[in-house]
Amino acid sequence: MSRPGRRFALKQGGRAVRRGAYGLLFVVLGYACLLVAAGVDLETRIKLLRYWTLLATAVYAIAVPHVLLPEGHLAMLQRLNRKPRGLLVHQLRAWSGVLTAFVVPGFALAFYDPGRWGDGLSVKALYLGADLLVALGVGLYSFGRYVNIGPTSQAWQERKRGGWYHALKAHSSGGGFAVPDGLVPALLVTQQVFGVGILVVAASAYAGLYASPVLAWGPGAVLLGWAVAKLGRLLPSYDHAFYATNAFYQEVFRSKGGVRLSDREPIPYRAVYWVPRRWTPAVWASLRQLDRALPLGRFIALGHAALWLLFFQDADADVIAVVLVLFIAAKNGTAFLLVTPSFAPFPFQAMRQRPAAWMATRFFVNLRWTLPFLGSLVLIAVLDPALGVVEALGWTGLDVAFALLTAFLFTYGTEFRYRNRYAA
Amino acid sequence: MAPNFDIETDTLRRPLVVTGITKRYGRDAPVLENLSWTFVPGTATGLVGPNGSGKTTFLRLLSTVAYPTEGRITFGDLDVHAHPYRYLQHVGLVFADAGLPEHLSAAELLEWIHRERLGWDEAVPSRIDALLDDVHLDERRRNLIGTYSSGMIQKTQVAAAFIARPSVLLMDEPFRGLDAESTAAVLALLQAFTAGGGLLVISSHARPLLDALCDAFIDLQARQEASVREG
Repeated sequence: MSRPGRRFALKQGGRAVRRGAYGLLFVVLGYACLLVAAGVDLETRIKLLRYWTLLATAVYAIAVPHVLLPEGHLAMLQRLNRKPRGLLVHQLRAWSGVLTAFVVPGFALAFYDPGRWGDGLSVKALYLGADLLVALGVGLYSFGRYVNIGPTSQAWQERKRGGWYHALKAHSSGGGFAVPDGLVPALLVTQQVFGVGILVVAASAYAGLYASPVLAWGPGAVLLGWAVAKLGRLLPSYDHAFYATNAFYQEVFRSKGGVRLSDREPIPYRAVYWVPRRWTPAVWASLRQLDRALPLGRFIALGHAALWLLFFQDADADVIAVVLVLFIAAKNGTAFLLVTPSFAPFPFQAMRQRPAAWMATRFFVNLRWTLPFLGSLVLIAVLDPALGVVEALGWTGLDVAFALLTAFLFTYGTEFRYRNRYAA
Repeated sequence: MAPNFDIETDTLRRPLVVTGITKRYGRDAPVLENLSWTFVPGTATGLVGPNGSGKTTFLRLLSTVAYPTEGRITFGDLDVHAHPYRYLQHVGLVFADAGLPEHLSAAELLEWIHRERLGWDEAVPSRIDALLDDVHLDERRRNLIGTYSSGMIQKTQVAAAFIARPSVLLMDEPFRGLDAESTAAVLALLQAFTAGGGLLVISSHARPLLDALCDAFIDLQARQEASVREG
């Protein structure tokens, strides 16, 4: 028995995989910031910080439910019966990883200035502070909006609320969002949070430009204070918010009585003809699961649209390089979903095939959008001299390398580790 | 010797009252409709019915991991869904999906729960050992849960439900995976719990065990026409 006073922490399952994925994200974001920040003048640096804050705002507006809901440790949290404050701390701790991932690289953007390290330090710090306040404010505001959304979502799901939306959907062909009704409030919150974020970024920029850099801190500080105050008001009944919100998300995403995620036609078996026969069944099953959890095709299409826009706006080569690296990392990083417990229960996985075969499977899953990626880049190369065909091939090579690397890392963190543990 | 369950006397008098509960998933037909019931302290109530009849949904509602479409559930004067933390202070749970941390031993898991919920004193280690003896979890109680068989995981779950001295036990298939000897041991534990004033709600397909244990049954196949049988 352990000594008195010993504390245990509730740790996430598959820590190696999560740490690997988080580390990869951190390295990619950090590298992107260093690449962009090297050698730019102060004015450009301030603009870059603002763009960075906008990117963080967009991520914070979307990411909360994906990171926190439904809670993977609900059974243990009930056994421990954490107090409302303990539940809040538990969720904030999980959310802080995403907050940090976008806050820390901001320091690189502000201060990475080889050869001119000391130039304009106070101004850089002032603008970084203003943008960090905005980012943290949006991050906590978003957190506060989502963690308490359960009762509203359930009311929408049961059609007790959202009459205007249901009427709109009934009277317009193809109207409404392609998600269950109960998830519509979350989409509306995403828009509201992003809208508030844009307004606060704009207000902070306006204050910095036309008043003083010190006043640029105001909008972010107000939003952060408001978000903290809202969480403070929620604290006494945080247990209700936590259980009600998890109850709804468990129903939607996990329970047998839950709803379907999408009405889209699932990928047919013949569509994976390009995969070697040895791995075709596993790749097909993986893609079917992945498609039901994430509309990856739409994100890929959006990513390509953004790339085209950047090229034809004659954006800086470094900015394009950063966007391409982020795009490739995000595209291949989604395979992480395939090693989470709901996709990959270990005994079942072990019976299907060996760990090396799972690695190959995830590699081919990652390759699904590589040919369209190459096609899109080659088309740009034909139309825009800023990109050569050789460069397009180089970026595609990087995509293939990422596909292999993420397949290896994710599989190593799950099937390989489990096999070694049980074989020992 | 029958285990001695140390339940706070003030919670012993509190019934768990279900009033007009309806649960539907989205626009589907309700899984449970207008169900009312009073669970009385000192009794065991069995939830019976075929697969898909709503046993697990009902237990999820009682354990606050699902929220009702209509109706309310109270424990004494406490609305369980409005105040889950205060309600769960009195509740022990066995889930269909154990969800136990694989990198702790059973003894460490019980220690953790005890520290978080009740604090610590010198008598606790022997209490944990006694409880693990009661569920027949052998010397492997110091091994990692990740190496346990399904039966050992189930014994760990049952012990984890008891460790915080609950006055209400909600159990989904607690006998699943247990051998005959362990089944008899868990059955004896549950009988001692209700004899000591505890309130037990249990779902199981092992009907002979429920017959030996329960004072009343809710037949969820008949939905709101729940039948009562004296044990």
